[in-house]
Amino acid sequence: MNEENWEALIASGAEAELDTGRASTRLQSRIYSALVQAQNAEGPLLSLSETEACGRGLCIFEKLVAIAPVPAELQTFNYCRVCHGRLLGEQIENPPLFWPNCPYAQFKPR
Amino acid sequence: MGLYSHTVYRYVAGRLAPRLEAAEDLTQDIMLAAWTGLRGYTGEAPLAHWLLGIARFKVGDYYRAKTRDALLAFEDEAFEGAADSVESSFVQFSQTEEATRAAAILRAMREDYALLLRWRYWEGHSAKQMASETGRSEKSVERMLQRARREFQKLWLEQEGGPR
Repeated sequence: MNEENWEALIASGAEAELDTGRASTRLQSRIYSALVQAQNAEGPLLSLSETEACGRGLCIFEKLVAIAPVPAELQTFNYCRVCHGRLLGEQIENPPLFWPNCPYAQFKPR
Repeated sequence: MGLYSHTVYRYVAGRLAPRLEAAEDLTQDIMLAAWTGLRGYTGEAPLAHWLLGIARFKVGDYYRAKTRDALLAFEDEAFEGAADSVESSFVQFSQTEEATRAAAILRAMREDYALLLRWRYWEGHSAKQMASETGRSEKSVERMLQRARREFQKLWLEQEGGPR
């Protein structure tokens, strides 16, 4: 083979790597956590009632907080940071998360 | 978010293969950078195109960072092209078989060599562009490219000599 053939062969090898599949559920969970944290760093998140009004349902744990008599600042706390659902989502591919409206459950393949 | 993270990940992983862990970290960086710069998105192009623009830039950064140090070493080294020469070979394979084998060789090579080869022959950057982007001399880029090509050829021919 001449040099041009070798170069074309290398390019075809690089091209063949393009079919690398989908982002893992772990990666999607990590990205989601990072984005919410970045939002939180810029200011308070929406309160739980505002979140629900925007169309994102509350998970079972958020619902408990929403009905509890807690101060207003606790309504804007990022509860996913302290939830085992986030840990499972970030660490385990296709995590065992089954309760409704968990943001980390939405990445599981359907 | 899911759809876009797949698009970005596929783009990045295809360029960083087989380093999928690095591809995941870079995908996360890209999505964060996109979120930070979202105010700069005018909506003129589809969001996926805009995200891939950021991804292209970040992958370029990765290529530059990974090849810069290796290129530095080549600037001080005497060129030993003759010692690396390989015999030419004529092989007949289907295009798909060849591409799959070539991909496997790129995965098995030193990362800096593989990145340099992709950058040059697949992304289509000239040695001059690569030199300017890494802050090294064009000569050292050409030397390292030649070394990387020889390495690729050597691995290809070794595979041919072995059992199929």
